[in-house]
Amino acid sequence: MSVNQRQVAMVMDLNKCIGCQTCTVACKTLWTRNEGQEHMLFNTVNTAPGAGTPRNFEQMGGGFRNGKAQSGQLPTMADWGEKFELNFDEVFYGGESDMPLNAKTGEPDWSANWDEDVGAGEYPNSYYFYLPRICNHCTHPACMAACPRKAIEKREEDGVVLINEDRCRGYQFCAEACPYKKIYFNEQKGVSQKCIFCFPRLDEGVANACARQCPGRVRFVGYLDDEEGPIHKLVYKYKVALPLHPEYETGPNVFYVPPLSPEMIDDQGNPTGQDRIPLSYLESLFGDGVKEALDLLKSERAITQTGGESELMDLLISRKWQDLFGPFSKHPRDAERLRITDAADPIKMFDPQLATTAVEEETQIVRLIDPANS
Amino acid sequence: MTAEIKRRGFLKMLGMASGTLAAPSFTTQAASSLTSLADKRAPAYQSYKDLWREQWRWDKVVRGTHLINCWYQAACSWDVYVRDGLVYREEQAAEYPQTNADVPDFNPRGCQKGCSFSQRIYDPTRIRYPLKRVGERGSNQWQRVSWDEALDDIAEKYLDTLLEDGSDCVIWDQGPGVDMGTTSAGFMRLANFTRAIILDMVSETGDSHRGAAETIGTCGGERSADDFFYSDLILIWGSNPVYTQIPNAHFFTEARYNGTKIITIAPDYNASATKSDLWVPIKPTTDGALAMGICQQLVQSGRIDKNFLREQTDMPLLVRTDSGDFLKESDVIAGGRDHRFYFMDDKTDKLTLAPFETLKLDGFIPRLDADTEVVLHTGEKVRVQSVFQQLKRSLREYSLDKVSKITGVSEGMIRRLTDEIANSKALSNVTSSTLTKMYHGNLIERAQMLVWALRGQYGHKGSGFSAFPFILGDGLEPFTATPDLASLKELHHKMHSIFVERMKQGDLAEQISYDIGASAFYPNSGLPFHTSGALFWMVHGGMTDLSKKDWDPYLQKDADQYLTEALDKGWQPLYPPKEKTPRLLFSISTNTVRRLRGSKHIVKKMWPHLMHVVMDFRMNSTTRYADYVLPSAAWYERTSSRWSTQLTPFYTLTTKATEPLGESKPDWEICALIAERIQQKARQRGLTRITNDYGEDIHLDKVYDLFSMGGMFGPKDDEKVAQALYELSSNVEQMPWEELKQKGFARYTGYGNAAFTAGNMTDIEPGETITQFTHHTRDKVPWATQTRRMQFYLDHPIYKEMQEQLPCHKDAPNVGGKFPLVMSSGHARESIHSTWRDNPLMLQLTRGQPFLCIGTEDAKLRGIEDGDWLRVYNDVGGYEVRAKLAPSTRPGQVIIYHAWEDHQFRKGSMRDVTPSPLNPVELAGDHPHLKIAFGWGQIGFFDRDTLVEVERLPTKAQ
Amino acid sequence: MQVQSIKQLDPWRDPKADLWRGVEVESVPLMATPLPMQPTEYIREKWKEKPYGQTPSVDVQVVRDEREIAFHLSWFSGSKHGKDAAAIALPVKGNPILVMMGSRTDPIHFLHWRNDGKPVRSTFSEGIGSTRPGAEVLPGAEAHWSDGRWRLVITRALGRDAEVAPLIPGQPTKVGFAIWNGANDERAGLKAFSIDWKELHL
Repeated sequence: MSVNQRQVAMVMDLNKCIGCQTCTVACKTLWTRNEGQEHMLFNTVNTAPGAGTPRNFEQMGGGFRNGKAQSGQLPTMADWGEKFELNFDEVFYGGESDMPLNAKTGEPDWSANWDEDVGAGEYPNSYYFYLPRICNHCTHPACMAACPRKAIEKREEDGVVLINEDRCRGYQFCAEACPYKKIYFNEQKGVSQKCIFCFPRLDEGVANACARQCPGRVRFVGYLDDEEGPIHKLVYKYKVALPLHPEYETGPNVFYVPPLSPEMIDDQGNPTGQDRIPLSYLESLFGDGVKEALDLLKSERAITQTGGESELMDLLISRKWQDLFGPFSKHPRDAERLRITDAADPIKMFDPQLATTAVEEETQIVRLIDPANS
Repeated sequence: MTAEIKRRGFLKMLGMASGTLAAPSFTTQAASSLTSLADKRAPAYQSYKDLWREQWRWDKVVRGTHLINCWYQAACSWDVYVRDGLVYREEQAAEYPQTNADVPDFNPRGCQKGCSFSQRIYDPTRIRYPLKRVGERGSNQWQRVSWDEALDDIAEKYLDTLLEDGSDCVIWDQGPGVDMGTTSAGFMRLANFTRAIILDMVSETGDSHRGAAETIGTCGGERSADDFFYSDLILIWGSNPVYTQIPNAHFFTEARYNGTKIITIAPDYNASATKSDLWVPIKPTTDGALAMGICQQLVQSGRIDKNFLREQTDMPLLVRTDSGDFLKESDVIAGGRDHRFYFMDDKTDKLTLAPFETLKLDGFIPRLDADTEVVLHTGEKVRVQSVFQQLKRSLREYSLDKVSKITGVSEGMIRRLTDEIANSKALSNVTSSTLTKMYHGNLIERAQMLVWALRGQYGHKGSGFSAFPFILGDGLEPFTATPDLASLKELHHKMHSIFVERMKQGDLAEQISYDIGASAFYPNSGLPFHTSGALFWMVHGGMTDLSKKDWDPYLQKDADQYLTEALDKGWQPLYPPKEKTPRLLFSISTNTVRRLRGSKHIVKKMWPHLMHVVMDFRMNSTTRYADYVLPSAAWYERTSSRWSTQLTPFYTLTTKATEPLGESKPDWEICALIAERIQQKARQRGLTRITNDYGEDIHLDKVYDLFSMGGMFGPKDDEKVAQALYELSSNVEQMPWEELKQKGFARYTGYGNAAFTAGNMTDIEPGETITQFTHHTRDKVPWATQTRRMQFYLDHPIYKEMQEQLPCHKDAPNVGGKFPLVMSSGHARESIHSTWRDNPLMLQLTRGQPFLCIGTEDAKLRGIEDGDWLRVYNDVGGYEVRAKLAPSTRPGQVIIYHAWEDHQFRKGSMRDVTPSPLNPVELAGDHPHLKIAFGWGQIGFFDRDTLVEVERLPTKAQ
Repeated sequence: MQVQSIKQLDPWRDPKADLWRGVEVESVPLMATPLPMQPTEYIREKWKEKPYGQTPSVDVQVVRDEREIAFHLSWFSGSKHGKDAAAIALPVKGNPILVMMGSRTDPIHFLHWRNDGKPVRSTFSEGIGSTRPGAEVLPGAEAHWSDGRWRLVITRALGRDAEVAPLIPGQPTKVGFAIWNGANDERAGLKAFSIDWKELHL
């Protein structure tokens, strides 16, 4: 196992995640748009409590216990949720009125977001929140340890875990061994595939698509050892960002700020002042640090509520969006490596020459009337 | 070939398919042919990493946006990445400036729908060629035709209709895809110069926030999303912004870290409730009672802002107890004016005329709890009471226990909620248009606004009750109206003089704006000719057939009778009038049949008599019933600007990134071609000028010349039109056009001259968040109502008849019959209206089919399990849908989210149970502010209080 | 193992062809790859109590014409729905140890068939875990399942090259076999293999 020099990490703030799936779609349209990848969502967002993606992944084993590899189960296509193939042509052009849209693949009975907003508990004390997940790019990746082909590597420069498709033979021991079940299989190519932490973007100083495209501003990206960066502060200084299922012993490098929740309601319908998400449930996900993390969030919030200053709250607010991404805040449009310089119309940002000539011709026409002068 | 080479081949053709290489055929003799490892032609494949890098590669990037009514979350600037002539993905531009250092910036905006529009435009719903119906209507039998053939037929029908039936029998229906950019410019100019009717669809979609219009004379008013950061309490009440304001939601979650409390009031524990500090579960449709209960608590405990009430509201104004009308100057003084009102001045104890041209009190202290006798000029003595006095009496009906019983909210919870509100220094609301889609939505909204008024929560940072957010560049209105740019100046002068004249007479600029807008609903306005969409469908579509009088105990007459009386009194204008038959219907950027409640009934009644032309980029519920389907260019294939909202105060542009797919064309071009063809055919037939039923001239031989301003804006000039709209806008930061195209957006500098947005009554200042209504609260400019104050008392006859003078709670009528479940709805997370509803990717991320949320208890009662097929029905109709068991859905409620397409239901559709009954108060007219305006003052459509029963389908139907 | 010389190989590509009845059959005994030799702890842990490589033997017949060689393999499988697989191992040079999958100096060339509709793969191995795509020898395969047995014909061009095991008439070489039971999730080193090389007389 190679030892990486630095480790990139992500913090996802569950108090800001609104379950909109923009991350999922941003990832999908960039990385898993090809044949063989129809069912793949390197990034998923599921309602918790819930079955997650793949369905019931937390009961599928893998990871380590006391340092020893644990056997795991391979998720089936049904567990992932197949992409529905739909009979659009028949509906629109089939010559029959009232032909409904059907999945050729059979009546849908599961998908990667089937139990959206279901959660647990009983009205009016039901509860749920959103749990976005990507590959955790673990410090001790179970996938890497399980692969008989040494086809999984952890990049030396940033610890990103990648499946080497030149070596992968599609045996899927990695997919079994990953306790988070974030590895898909590409039947078309016969290889396993998973989140690549957008390494081509990172290499250009651009944040991951899921992070940069997140309208909820949920995700921080940066190096774990950057003591001035928000990730280090949230994980180590304030300890409000916690790994998912630390008991799997893989050392995830994705961390979560646990969710606050509205007050419970008693039998009379009155608010009780108690959090409605049971602490025990959150601890089953994020370990023993949950209570302290939530207490700190509440006490710091009490400070801002009375007009005080809080570094922690400021970090989580991140008034300037770019602050979420530290060294990866370059605009993707400016990723120069990718410019096709001999293209017919290369992109020129704000070329004043270009602007003036074109406008001179046009404005004569429409500047005839200036509302200000009339 | 080797496996290495296969990978190289793959690399070259990556992007579309990876597995298309055929298995190699057998070749002979190993020896020499085996050693072909070095293929010189292949690009430098070094490792699998190159395959991933190759995925993130493009030819060019163009700034774009989506010309769709996402309303509260509208107008996100995107980078559209083009590769091999197709859009392959998009990513947020994310270059919005931060307003100031106190508040979070707007970046990155966007949502999963915008992020996947690149997938939508190439999915199987995309229309590539003009289609002509060849089978029975609705039979999905089409023939691909040439543009030429389609234009010929449509232009003939257009001309024939103008000549034989009249211009008011040509109808332009617009919808959520209307951009207020080049699409609007196109069809509005074509409609304008043919004097065809454009349907105003704001009320018809149930969005018009009538309660606000009743209270402040406009349904408009909203803050910028970053202004929420100054609120210490946000009430999410009648909204689910986590679904419907995705790019704005971070302002709420971040405000929370900044100390702001968030309370959600909703029947279900919805996604937004999960982000709140407190969730108040409430019985659907009873929000008005809760608001009244809070008001009662506030008034009873004296926790009210008396100065605000005295200055800004009608609370001190006197009402005659005999007639229920305001005491007017004409009552007290012979020859006095009808529109001057009185209060009792506490200082002098005298009957005093309320200031009318300002809200400044000039030392008066209007008495809030006045109850006295006045002598009229006739000598008659009349007892009068202040509105506040009457309100106090009516609030007694809203004791804690009674409100608790109506709403299902506990007394303790009501007290807590009242305390939180009373302790707030900056109270804001997050609204959308779910409550306004209820039959008594106006009453609910009036009661909500009363809470804010009692607390004086208007006009300061982080405060204000918002209703209808909207902002647009004010270049569109003149552009659609003027025959050429030279006459724009004339138009400006004409408008200017109207303002000057009327303001001299004491009218408010705001009211004058609305009146000019409303003139478009009458002939000879010189503006594109509009009619109320809801009224049009209600009358011509025979919607009143679907409703029963006994559903609403307050109704004294049949709906039809209210309708006829209102039309006879001229309260509401309708074109064409009831006696005429619409003959040619255009659906432009709208899914008419999906949108209309009870649409199948309407289609059955109207479609046999008309030709229906649909202009869209995708097949949908509406194209099914069309005679012609014209393929529109998608939003990355043309140039246009779009309206937005002050929540995100940026004028946003989409720039053509690729050629239109197939034979599709920009809407502007299609409208231009229709105009051209009409003109050509008119000239062939030797037609020149005709005059319609209303004495308006139509120059048939010059339709295109007028449309195009003498050829200045031809079919291919949609970018030039977009540029003109921008440069004609006085309220948008100006920069060179090419720079704007590169940047994609410009900040609004004000509300400008657009009638619709005048009611915001505030400024847009650099470095400042936007807080609405400061002109009223800071500058003391009167409100645009009958009494020139926020008006909670309405003395219009129909309000008196329906006993709705003051805000109150009325039980929702039994819409659909007496059934145990309220079928509510809400806009979906994964689609904007129907635009993404059947998108395969969005379906993959939900359940692939329509579903109905039902609570655990109700499901158990009916033997329903998750995924079961259900029949949903009431007295109006029924449909089949699958069950989604959700413990967060309230007992007694079922929820079907918005806008599933008809073809997504295997039997019936969600619209088959929604009759949308007429609420007679909405017909009001002949009143200073209860009358038609652009976007409000019209009847609305309702579906959120529909009653249904649900049953599990027998096993064999599962 | 004697390779029968024939005139024209084409009719022999069909594993069901009656022609095959006349060819000598050699039953090659197989055994499971030992658990301790499985390359990762994960695999050893997962399979420690789960049997694999239980296919007892494979029946082999071999014919060639002037250009090509055909191996006919037949073994008991029980089901045809799993991703059953079979491989033929041929030494490229030296004396590779079959169970070690060869070494850098003594590599092995494999022809690998799997019940997934994809063509036979040619792979090159210099030891456990080192297998990589091998030279494209354009092999062919046809498989047929009936009565619980696979019958499979794998063909390859005769000849040799740097990374291609020599198959040259008149020059004896060695051959090994491996069978994976797909229904038991066998893949990679989880297989039954012929314990040692068989002499192959061309």
